[in-house]
Amino acid sequence: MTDVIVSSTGTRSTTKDAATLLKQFRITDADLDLVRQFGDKIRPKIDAFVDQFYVWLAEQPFKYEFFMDDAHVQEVRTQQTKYWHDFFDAKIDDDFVETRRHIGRVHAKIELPLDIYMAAMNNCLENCVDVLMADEEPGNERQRTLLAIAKLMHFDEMITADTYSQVTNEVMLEQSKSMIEMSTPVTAIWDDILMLPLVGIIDSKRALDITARVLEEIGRTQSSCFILDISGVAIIDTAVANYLIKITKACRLMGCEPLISGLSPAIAQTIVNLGIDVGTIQTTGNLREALKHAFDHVGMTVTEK
Amino acid sequence: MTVRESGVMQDPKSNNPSDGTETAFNIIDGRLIVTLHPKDDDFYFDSLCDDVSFALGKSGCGVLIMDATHLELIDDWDFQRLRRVIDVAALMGTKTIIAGVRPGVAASIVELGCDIGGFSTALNLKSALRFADTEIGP
Repeated sequence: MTDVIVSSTGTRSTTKDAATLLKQFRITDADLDLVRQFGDKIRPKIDAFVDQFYVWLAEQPFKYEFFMDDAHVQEVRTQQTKYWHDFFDAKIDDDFVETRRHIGRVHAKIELPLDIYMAAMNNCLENCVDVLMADEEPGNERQRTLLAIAKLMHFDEMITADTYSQVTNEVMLEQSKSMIEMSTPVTAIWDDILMLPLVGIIDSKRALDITARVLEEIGRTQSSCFILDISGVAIIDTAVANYLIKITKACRLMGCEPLISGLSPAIAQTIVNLGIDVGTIQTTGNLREALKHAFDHVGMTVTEK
Repeated sequence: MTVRESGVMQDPKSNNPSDGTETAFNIIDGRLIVTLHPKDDDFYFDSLCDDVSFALGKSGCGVLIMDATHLELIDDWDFQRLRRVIDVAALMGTKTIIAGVRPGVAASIVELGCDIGGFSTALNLKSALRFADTEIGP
């Protein structure tokens, strides 16, 4: 009864149906009956519980912006009240699980910290215990009810938190993917001329990404010239220089002429001081010169109109 | 551009023409063009050296163009064999151009730290022929 869903971003999530989950949490029909019976007693007090949560929230040192304006607070309160009514109805089916997943998704979307949600759950558990203790029922009956409530509450929290982290993970994966894309914007600036402005810090992982992207673009566009602008690279050391040399060598192997531009005086000095042999790679001080070389290489001249 | 001669040249020593190691040659405008295949046995690159030097000697071509478009993988050993072909050709006074190296092959040759001097490269067969015309001459 378990489907493993692999989303487009590659995160694995298990979606189990209500029956499987109930079995896993050892929540029996008897437990649900107890929760339902207790629900009849607690239902009139739910509004007061929710009020209490907002009193607690107001006491907190941080102010979560979602609770700042009254219209939103009113909406959240309505949802919260409905949440508890659903909870004490204890009708656990796939629809119920879906509503809890929905809550997780909404929380992740509005970036509500999990601790606030957990605190709200705890708040209610505390209230339930208070009501239960004031009860005249025999002790062991009360304990069994308490256990049933606790089980169901954990069940609830699990579904919501699980969905929450799933959504957050997906967002993070998506972001890191676009970071890689953004960090290597290989573009054709002219027919047969590719350019990559490098910005930031180059480590071995990024160097590999760059090499792969550049070679792929050369293969795709069949460009005969590639300008690598390194004026935005923060640090040039032996390792980074080696990466750059490797990239240019691979370019040349594919039949594409590499040009490295943007060697500032400081970078040029560093390279000489480190004793790095750049070999036969064409280097220029600025992009302008590189472009001139590139036009020359592809057999073009720029003339004034 | 005219195709003066094309077809499969066989080493006269080889008695079995279809043993899978035959190499396809084309001669276009006095350039010997070899199409490299994904290797299906360990002896492919070994026999390549024999085949190419034999064909070079017979045709007297001054330019050797190796088309690597179909080559998807290469290892250190294979590249050493390929180097030998290039070095042999150089000794015979022939300049080598390798055309159409794939991104993955280029990256692995660089990663392996192989010596990549002594030959020219081109994006594809067309630009290799143009390169031969403009830079090397007839």
